[in-house]
Amino acid sequence: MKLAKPRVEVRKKQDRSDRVRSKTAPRSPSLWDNRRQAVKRAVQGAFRVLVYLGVTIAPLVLAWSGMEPGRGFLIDFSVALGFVGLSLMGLQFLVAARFQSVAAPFGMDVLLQYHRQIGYVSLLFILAHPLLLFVADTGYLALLDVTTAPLRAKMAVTSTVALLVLVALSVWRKKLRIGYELWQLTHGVLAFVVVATALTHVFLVGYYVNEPLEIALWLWMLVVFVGLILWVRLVRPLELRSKAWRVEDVIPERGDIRTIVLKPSRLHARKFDGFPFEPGQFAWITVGKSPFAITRHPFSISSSAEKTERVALSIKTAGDFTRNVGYLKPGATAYLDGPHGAFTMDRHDGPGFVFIGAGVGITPLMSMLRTMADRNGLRPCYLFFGNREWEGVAFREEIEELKGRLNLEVVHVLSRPPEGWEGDKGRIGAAVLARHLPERYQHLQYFICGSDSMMDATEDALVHLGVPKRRVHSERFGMV
Amino acid sequence: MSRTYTTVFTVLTTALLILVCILFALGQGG
Repeated sequence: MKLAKPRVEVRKKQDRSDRVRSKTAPRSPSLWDNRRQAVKRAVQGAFRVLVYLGVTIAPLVLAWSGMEPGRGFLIDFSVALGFVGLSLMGLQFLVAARFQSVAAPFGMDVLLQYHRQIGYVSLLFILAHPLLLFVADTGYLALLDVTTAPLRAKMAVTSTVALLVLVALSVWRKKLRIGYELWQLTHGVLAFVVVATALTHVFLVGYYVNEPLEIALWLWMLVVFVGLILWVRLVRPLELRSKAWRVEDVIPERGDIRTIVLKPSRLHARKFDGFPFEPGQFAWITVGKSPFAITRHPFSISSSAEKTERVALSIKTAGDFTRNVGYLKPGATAYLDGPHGAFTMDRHDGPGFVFIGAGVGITPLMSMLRTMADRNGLRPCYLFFGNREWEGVAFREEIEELKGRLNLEVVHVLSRPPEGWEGDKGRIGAAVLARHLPERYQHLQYFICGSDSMMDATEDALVHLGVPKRRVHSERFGMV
Repeated sequence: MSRTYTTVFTVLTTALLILVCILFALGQGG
């Protein structure tokens, strides 16, 4: 720190999560543990991908082995795209259902990114389905007249329109100023309408769905889709209700951040054996609402992974749900769905770590730093922390304190530095990184968290500096 | 960087699925 350290009152409520004792002794995963886990995750991931692809093309395999004659390349290609598009849409429920077992090998943020990207792909497939039919035979255009078209065509039109609306709301949610909660509700309802009407369309058309195996496959898919919806909206909330949390404290931090400290409710505490997570992971939280509420919010866990009897999430008050975080009172009921995410140093071993954060992006990094300190970590680590103003630097005092417990070098970068500031100014870029990183910096593991633009710029800077991509890890706040 | 890998995976999956659809249409006698 180049600026003379200001005399800031160290708050008494620094972070109660830190005071909670862990039941288990601090441990640091060994290199062998990490490698074994990495191999296990790779095998699990490959198996899940193969099953996913198998389910996606299963309707075509069965249709191909069926007895129906072909109807020309364009029509059969169109039908194939429609089937695959529908399979992809149906599997979207699985991808977005927040199954820890499904997400574990990839990380939830990766899965949600894929959910978004493959959503566009399935839209293209589903739009191409009628378009190719129209090209093959203009007679199909008459099916667009919903006043005279048969029910099977009405179902197809309803499904396509609902899908277009769903995608439009997702792409332009912010421009249309639709709140996150309303969007999440419409997203779920529209997704159900898309798949339900598309399945009805398939059965009413009745082509390639006549053989017993074909019927069995689609009925099985229907059961899986309905089962997933029931699991997400009924079973999981019931599970969450039995594991309720109480807000123990709401701690104001610098930079308009609030730390919510949660402890298990009295009922939950009876069977509670800690909330195990890896430092850097996040959880979905519902506060002051029923666990059946359709909206939850993902936030990074900021407490140490070695202190699992309390969980702290640090949230920037910005909009929607976060605006009300400051008004939360101790004792409020909360439901925690997690942990999720693969953004954690426990999965990426190295001779040292570089943490690069901006603003509220510090929260998962704080969890990593606190965990390292609790594990008595000796490996060198570097924290590059970008903020607008010195007064808005969250966890500033605690970071200073952590320097005494860790082999930690901290570089604050301010875009609006105060007078007399001799530290780094502007944004975290290649020049700032190169100035402070050690000689063999390419061997370190890099963790970046901040806005999308900040992470893009930092990733580019690291690539420019010759850091291998496999050692650069990031978590996107805008993933949902 | 996982974002890049995810995008690559999405592109490869899309290409594979389109190929399967084409093979299906050809296999049906198209």
